[in-house]
Amino acid sequence: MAIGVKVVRRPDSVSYLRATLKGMTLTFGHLFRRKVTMQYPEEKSEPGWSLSPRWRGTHRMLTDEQGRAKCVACGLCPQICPANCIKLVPGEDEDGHRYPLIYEIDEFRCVFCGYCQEVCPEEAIHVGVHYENAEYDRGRFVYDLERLCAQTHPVSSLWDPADPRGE
Amino acid sequence: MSAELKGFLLVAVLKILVVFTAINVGVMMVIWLERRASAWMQDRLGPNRVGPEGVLQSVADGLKNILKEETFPVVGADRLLFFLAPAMSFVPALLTFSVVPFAAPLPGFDVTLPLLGRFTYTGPISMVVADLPIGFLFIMAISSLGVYGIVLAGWSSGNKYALLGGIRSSAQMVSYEIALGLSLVAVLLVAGNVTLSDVVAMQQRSVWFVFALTVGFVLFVVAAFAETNRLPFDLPEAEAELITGYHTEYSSMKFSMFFIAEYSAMMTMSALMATLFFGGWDIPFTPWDEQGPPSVGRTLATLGVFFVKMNVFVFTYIWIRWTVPRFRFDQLMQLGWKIMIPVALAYIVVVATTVYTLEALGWEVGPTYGLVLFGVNAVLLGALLFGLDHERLILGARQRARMAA
Amino acid sequence: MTEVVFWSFSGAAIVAAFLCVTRRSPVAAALWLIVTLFSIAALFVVLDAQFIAALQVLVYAGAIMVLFLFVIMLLNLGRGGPSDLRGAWGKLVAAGLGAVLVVELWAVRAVAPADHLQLPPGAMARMSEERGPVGVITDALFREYLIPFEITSMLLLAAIVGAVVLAKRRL
Repeated sequence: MAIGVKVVRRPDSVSYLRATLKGMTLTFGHLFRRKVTMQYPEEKSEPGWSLSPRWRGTHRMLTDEQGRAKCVACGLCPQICPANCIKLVPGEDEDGHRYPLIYEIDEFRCVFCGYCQEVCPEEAIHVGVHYENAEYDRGRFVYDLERLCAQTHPVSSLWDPADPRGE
Repeated sequence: MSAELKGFLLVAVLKILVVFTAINVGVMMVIWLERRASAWMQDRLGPNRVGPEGVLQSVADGLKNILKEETFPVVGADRLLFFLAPAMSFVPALLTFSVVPFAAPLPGFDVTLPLLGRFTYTGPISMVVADLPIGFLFIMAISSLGVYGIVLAGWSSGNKYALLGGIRSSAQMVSYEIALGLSLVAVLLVAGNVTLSDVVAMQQRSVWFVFALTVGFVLFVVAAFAETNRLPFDLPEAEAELITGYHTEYSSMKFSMFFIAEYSAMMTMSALMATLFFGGWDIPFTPWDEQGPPSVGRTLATLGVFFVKMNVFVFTYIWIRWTVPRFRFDQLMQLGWKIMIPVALAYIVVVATTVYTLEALGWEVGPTYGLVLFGVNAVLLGALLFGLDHERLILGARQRARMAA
Repeated sequence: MTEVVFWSFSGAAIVAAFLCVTRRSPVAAALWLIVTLFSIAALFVVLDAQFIAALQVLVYAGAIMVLFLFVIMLLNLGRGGPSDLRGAWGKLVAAGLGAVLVVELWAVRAVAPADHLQLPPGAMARMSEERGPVGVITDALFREYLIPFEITSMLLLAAIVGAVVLAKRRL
């Protein structure tokens, strides 16, 4: 079992008042403890805390040296996507290199499972370590290829390389 | 209009305005305090954005609730009662504070204002909205009407969860009202009168009743928690089982009114605990506050003391809410009927006997009188805690299963 | 001033009592009964009997009527049902009984109460000034009328025990 379950033996006879008073001293002590809340818009991080590298947020398309998307329009990511949120129209240039004519991800439909990143043979599409996505317009949540390439946030490692089975 | 009548009207209107404004502002502050204190107890920060340290959070919430859409249940609901129910819980909660004396009296005045003429008020102005001769009986009577708001809200919603909340609250309120009333009989026995100003005066002469009537105080606190529907007695709401019970169907300002009613009832009960058992506006260890002619400084000082005492209990309410889990309904009923009421009845007999004996011995009400009562109470309290605590006060699931077997 | 208060509250009591017996829905009837009891409490205040008024609100309006509502809700009688007065005979009997009641009230009105039951005007206010509002009642209750008081409490106790035995056969 991955998670240890602690079994608490119930005592046979319980003093309600003593337990209540004990609980009250505990809650009173917590009044003066250091608070764990992070004041979000002002503080986004604090010493000893960072967003997990395995965080799966909005996508990012990696690019090659010429600034073109690494995507070869193989069609695996729309195939595996459980939410069916990736729209891909493949194209081919005169040299026979395949590239996406249209590559759009509807971030509203996306369930951030990360399968697209896992399945991608070119390591082109990634889910990002990123969570600030506010927009003024619904339409802006359909990310097109240009927008996906323009993202600069770090990408997810999906799993811990030292512990691939999550143990 | 004569100058005296004008002075009387001015004082009456001012007292009403000041006290009810203070309660409403106080409710806002207490709601904010509750949210902050609960957050602190859970190592969070709580609302701290609106105004300095978030004190204006309740104002923002109120504004939001006024502007929000009101929804009405359509199927099986009673529209008129659904409308009236929030008011029916709101009004008694506000009314009850009017008999609580909150400070030493102010001196009378004789002023002449331009246009309005002369105002006079002879004698000290007592700092209570209405010093009724029936005192805390008035509070008992009016607060017992508060349950209608809850019951009718539950019934008129046409929702089974709301109805269950209403039924639970009616059973709970009636049960604990008895214990509350019986615990107050002890106060009446020692103070000799039900007027709250007399109770305060009596405590100034002897000792605070928390010493003279410790068991009564404990009973009163438990019953008061049940009467105000606060944890561990908040079964009418019970978010986990009844999706907040009687106010499931309420939205916008009508929902807020239930909230204001709950918190002002809580403040009144805290004020009552301070007045009945902790000397009201009395400043301990000094006779300065009750002797000599009234003065403004004395009124302010006693008001401050009363404010502190009251808020200690308000904080206790909050503190217990975020510590103790909710009872099961059978635990609530068995605590009310099998423990609170018999103990309260026996306690009345003990207090009456003690008071009668002391009076037969010709003792005057004073510090020693109070200390004798305190001795009796200490023995009783020790015996009660020793005898009742284990497995009798609250039945856990295990004991219940054992009893059923 | 007192007259205005008296007439407005007695009017309210009568109107509410009338509405109480004419409403179809049991909840509405119970609520009108609460209004009646509350108005009567106000009338007690007019008569300088604040203690009785407080008890009236506390016991009748605050506790007994809550139990009424509790039962109505538990039995799900919330919506109006058919009337108890069925057919011409039922109405005739009701009208007859009502007429008898009116005649009785008329007869009682003509009889003056006994002398020792009548207090001089303002006596209650003076007595509660001296003894406190509770003392006035308790003196009479626990000195002069102690035996009737105890007998009443024994009767109530017997009623409670009887109700428990009827409701819960297997104790």
